[in-house]
Amino acid sequence: MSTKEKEPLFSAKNMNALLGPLGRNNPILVQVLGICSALAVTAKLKPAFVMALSVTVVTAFSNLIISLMRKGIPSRIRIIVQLVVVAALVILVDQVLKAFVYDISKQLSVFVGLIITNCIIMGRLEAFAMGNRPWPSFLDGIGNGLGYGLILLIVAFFRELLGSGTLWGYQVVPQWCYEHGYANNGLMILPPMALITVGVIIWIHRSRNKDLQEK
Amino acid sequence: MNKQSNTYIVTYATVLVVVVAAVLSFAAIELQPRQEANVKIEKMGAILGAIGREASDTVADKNRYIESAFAAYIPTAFFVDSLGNATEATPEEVLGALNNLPAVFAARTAMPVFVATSPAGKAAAAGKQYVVPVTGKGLWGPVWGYVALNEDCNTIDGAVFDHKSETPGLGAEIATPAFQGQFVDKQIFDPAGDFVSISLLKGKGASARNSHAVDAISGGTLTSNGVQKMLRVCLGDYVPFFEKVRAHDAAAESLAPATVVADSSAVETAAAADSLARAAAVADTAAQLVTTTETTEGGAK
Repeated sequence: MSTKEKEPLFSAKNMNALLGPLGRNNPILVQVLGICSALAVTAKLKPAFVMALSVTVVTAFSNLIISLMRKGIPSRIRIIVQLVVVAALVILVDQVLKAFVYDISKQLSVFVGLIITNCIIMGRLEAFAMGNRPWPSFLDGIGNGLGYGLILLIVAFFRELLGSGTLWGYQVVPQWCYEHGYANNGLMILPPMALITVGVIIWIHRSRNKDLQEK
Repeated sequence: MNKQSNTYIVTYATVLVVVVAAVLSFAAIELQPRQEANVKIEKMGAILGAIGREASDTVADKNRYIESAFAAYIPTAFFVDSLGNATEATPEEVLGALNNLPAVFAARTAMPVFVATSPAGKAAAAGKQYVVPVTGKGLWGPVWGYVALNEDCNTIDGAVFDHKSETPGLGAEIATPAFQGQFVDKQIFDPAGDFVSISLLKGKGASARNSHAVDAISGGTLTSNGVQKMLRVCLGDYVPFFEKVRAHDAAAESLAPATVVADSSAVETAAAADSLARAAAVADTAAQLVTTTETTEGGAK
């Protein structure tokens, strides 16, 4: 897709589409989208990472495809068209996971399929891809996927460390800690602690970005 | 062209759906062999788990370990019917039958039995274990598992269970080592020789002195009931076969294919042989190279 008015590939505007969602404009922290899966798959780092990757792939390519198709999509059925594209990508991702990382796809179980209903994706399609050229849309998709993934990984890091004493499946809390009475916090593995962890992250994020605070 | 016209919309939707369907079917067909291999490996891993040979966390390549260990520890498998008659089959064929277990137990003509050689360290006299699959219903969906019986077809050497959608923390506990470990050394026949299966009893420690019961899961009563029923029904289907083996029936002996008593270090040996063979191949190539060099030198002279 050639751009007529030769905008550089990584112009300030494009970089903003890519990096904005990682910080100031994070989909989970600011728009509070995609919370459901963020709670469900963050008990361990590894599934959280695979989930983050899957969502990034789906947001990026659905943004790209919808942006390529945006001039032809009849507006009366645009939501359905978007859904078909997203669903197709999600099924592809699910099939690939089943073929190559079967263990993790079993752990993620139903949540891969539920990427379809992740509000971040439809939100970005409606808000960005329908009105922008393919390249910025693609970057916006990657940015939002990564913004979502970043939070997932932060939450999973604390939940796995405090809940299981491991990181990425490897034991990091040494044995002598357990011998001196340290115990893994079982509550961290349960979904409520994910909600509280996300809450703490939002608190920190808001206190650093004062303009986001509601009066 | 009018993008709001019905013709346009219908055509657009049709083309889109056909294209998407084509892409998805292509992907599904391309990835199917790998997915089926994964499912098979998972089953083999579960059977190895029942005989205490599951891949430890330190194993780098789990799939390879499972394949080699399965070949080493479970050399034979066969089908039995509801009268206890065995039909010989290859482990491959018997593994294939696991794909639709409920139908297998409904027909009761060819129920899978795997014969494993005894793990080292267990005091089993002659090294043979029978691993049979079990399948049933939990609270929300199917539950299934594998039970490894000692050569006497009575004492349980190990059991693994898995489930599709039981409640985490409650019914899903059947998939934990803590629950499964209770089954070790329990017996499915009472001293009189009648089949009693294994019951799941309520109350912590209720099964402590009962060799035909384990503790059920608190909060998971319906799943526990499902597991108990599954064991009673599926192991019950195998009872004629078990009784034949237990009676040391000469016919059963000859029908049950003889087990190769493999060395407990068979896998390691296989791996060692593998690397030896590779080393030999390298040496061969080197020797050939030397010969070639010599020949050329000879030719030059």
